[in-house]
Amino acid sequence: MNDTRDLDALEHAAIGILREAYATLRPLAMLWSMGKDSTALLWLARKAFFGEVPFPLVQLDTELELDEVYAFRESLARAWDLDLRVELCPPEHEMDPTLPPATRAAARKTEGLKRYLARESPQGIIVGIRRDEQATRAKERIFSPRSPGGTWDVRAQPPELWGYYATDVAHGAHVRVHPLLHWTEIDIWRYTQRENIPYVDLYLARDGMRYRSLGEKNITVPIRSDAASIDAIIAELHATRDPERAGRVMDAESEDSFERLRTAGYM
Amino acid sequence: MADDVARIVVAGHVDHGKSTLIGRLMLDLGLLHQSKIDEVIASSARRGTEPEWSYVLDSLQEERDQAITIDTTRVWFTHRERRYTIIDAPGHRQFLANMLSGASDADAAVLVVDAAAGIGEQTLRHAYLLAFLGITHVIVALNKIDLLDDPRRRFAELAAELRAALHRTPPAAIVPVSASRGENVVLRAASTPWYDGPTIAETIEAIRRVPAPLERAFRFDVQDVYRRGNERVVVGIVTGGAIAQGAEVLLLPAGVRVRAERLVRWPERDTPVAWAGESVGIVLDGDRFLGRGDALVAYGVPARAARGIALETFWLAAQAPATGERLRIKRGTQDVSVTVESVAAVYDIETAREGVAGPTAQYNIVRLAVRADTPLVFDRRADNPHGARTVLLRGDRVVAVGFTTAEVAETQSAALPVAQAEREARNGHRAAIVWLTGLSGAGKSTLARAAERQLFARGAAVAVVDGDELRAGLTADLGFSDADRSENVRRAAAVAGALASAGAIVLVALIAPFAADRAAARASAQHPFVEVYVSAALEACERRDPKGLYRRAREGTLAAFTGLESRYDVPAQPDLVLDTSRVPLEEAVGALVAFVDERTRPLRTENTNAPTPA
Repeated sequence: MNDTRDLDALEHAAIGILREAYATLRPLAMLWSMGKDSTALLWLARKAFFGEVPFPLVQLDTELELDEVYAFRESLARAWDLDLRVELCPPEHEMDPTLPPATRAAARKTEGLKRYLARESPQGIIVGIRRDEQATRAKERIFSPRSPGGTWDVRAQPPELWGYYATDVAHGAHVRVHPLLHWTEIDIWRYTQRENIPYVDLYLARDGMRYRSLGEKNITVPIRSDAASIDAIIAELHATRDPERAGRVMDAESEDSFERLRTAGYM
Repeated sequence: MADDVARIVVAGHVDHGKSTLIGRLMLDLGLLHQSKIDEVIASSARRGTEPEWSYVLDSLQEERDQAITIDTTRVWFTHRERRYTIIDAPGHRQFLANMLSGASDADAAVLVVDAAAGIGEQTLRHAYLLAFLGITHVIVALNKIDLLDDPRRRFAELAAELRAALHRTPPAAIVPVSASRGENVVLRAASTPWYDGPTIAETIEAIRRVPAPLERAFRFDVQDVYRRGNERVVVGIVTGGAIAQGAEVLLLPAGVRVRAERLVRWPERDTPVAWAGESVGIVLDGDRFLGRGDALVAYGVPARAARGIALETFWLAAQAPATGERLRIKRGTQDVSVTVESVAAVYDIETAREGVAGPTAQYNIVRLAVRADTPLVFDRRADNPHGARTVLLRGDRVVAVGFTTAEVAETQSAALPVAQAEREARNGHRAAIVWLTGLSGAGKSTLARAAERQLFARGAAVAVVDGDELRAGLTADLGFSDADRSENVRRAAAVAGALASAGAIVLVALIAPFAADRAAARASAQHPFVEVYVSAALEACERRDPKGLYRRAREGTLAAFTGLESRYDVPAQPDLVLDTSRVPLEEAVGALVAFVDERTRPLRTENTNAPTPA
């Protein structure tokens, strides 16, 4: 496992995508949830722009993140001198009542993002999603155009090949940029370890439990695990057949709950 | 294992069972979690069907209801210490843009064909597109073999039909499978005892990754320029070859030679070399004005900047291109408006027929010529397919993907002679006459031919004018009197001049013993003229005596031989001296090529584009 040339290839591609976004989409912003993926992405952005991230980092805040996550946000924002914008999400009773309960809670982030989009009119939003997280995300493009309402038309996606991306943005619309799309969960951990990127220690096992995916405390549960180091996490992931988002309650509520969320503009 | 990833696209006609094959492959390789298996069984039961393994991939609600794949989906797994990315490409005609997106970065393809239905329209189109994209490793899965009455006979028939249809990319294997039953996918089928070839799992294990284009000429498309302290850092991705710190490269479309002073990354400091596929920052010498859309390329290779461009494209839009229509072209990081000058031909993939009026453009091959508003940097597909990749847009919609194939001359200047500057821009170097003078046997022809080979290999326009060859034809009427020797030099100079006017670097290998004749040749030249003295000592030349001339001169059967009876004026001020009796041949050739490089650099000095707001 010491051969990390595959990570080099992923890193070079992600840096190229970040620079392409910055050259073609202005204003630009990046979503940062303080999770392992968007923190690795933040590190890649520092590499792409020689240490100084030239766009704001937006946290869609439901005020329900775990305490350790908020503490991590504060310490890293200080240490890396980040331009952090905290966007408070609207309350749950304003969400679509036909959605299942946990899905409704997750939809708060979509609405928070819509507020940010309406106010700041960014042309590009960089998001750290990966194709292997969830089948609907596997359909994504690296540059994924969204309608002015923020919705995703999965049936009419533009062709994307040879590094030519959809960078034309209609008035009021935006493009989601996904530099980590081709990364896997194991890639993220190997890269975090190799680059010595900080992470929330809730990912490490304590008393036989750890968080594999960090969401709001009301809709995320830890998994059984003894993995108390990144090496142990990687070994665990090589052995497991459980999906990554098994701890996310909303994904299992109904067959199409995640697709409905994403079509409406969820990350 | 880490670096070994095989990317495989699964293509074929709609309903022939692509997603089912992938789902089955994953199930039989033991990659699916019990919860996923349960989910598929439950989901299938709700729709009243047998377990439908395509649901593993077809996650979108609409796909499950209509039983088709709408967009490309990728799945990843590790099998026998190796990583695989499987790309499921949609088979339905209207989703060809998605099929291209999925297939564009694959190392190999599995083409799924329904053995009962036979070759479908999209089978041929997908097969053609795989070849068009440059994917040459193709495996055919003849699916639904369990539904046939006489599978052995039908398999043989279809295999023959497929080999004929796929003549552009002969398949690596043709495998009879039943994806729904899991026959010959991972496990060998008892029902096909007559088949002793590989299973699908075995065929994908044999796939090798297509390597990054390291061995190709250096190409770098400028994404942006960042100001960092007092430095301007040019950022981009190396798309071919490699660049080393200190290397001299050509900036296009300006046509200026620049030096990569430093290659920079963060948080590391400098890096000595950057390879194909790598993102890197380059600090150039001097204070260059350049920006997004410019390109850095290896010097002397045939990348070009031109306004008239011929293209071969796969046309995606319903509306065909029209002469005079305004489109956009993207090549590298350039994004340029173009006017369609002519539509040369439309090739119908299904019927293999070509015409201008007949076939519809959509989902077929369209060859057209466009004129760009500003020069576009590109490679011809024949020289470098990677650097020829391009997309065409109508407004903000991609209407075609394809390759630049050639430069098209300016229409409005069709009657005007081609200017020397145009030749330089295309060749990437200036024309010049390089005159190698020296005694017989000094090594003039040997040096000229070796230098010609090196320059030619790098794409230069180069020619050799050899004295001995001239005497077989153009100067056959001349002898070796002083007057005839002068006339010989005059004619050789005239031939060299004509070749240089065509843009070539002309290497003249001719004794040209008299200083006055050489001076006259220089004076009459319309192109840069340099004199190279190949200065082997007389004793060395006589010892070599490759043509036996010294021996004949000594025996008295050859009169007026230069160096013996006839004088040789040693050049007083040669531009370069190469002593082949002291330095090895390779060293002398290297010195000559370096000298020629130096003297044939394009002269244009600075890009007149507006400065980049870095």
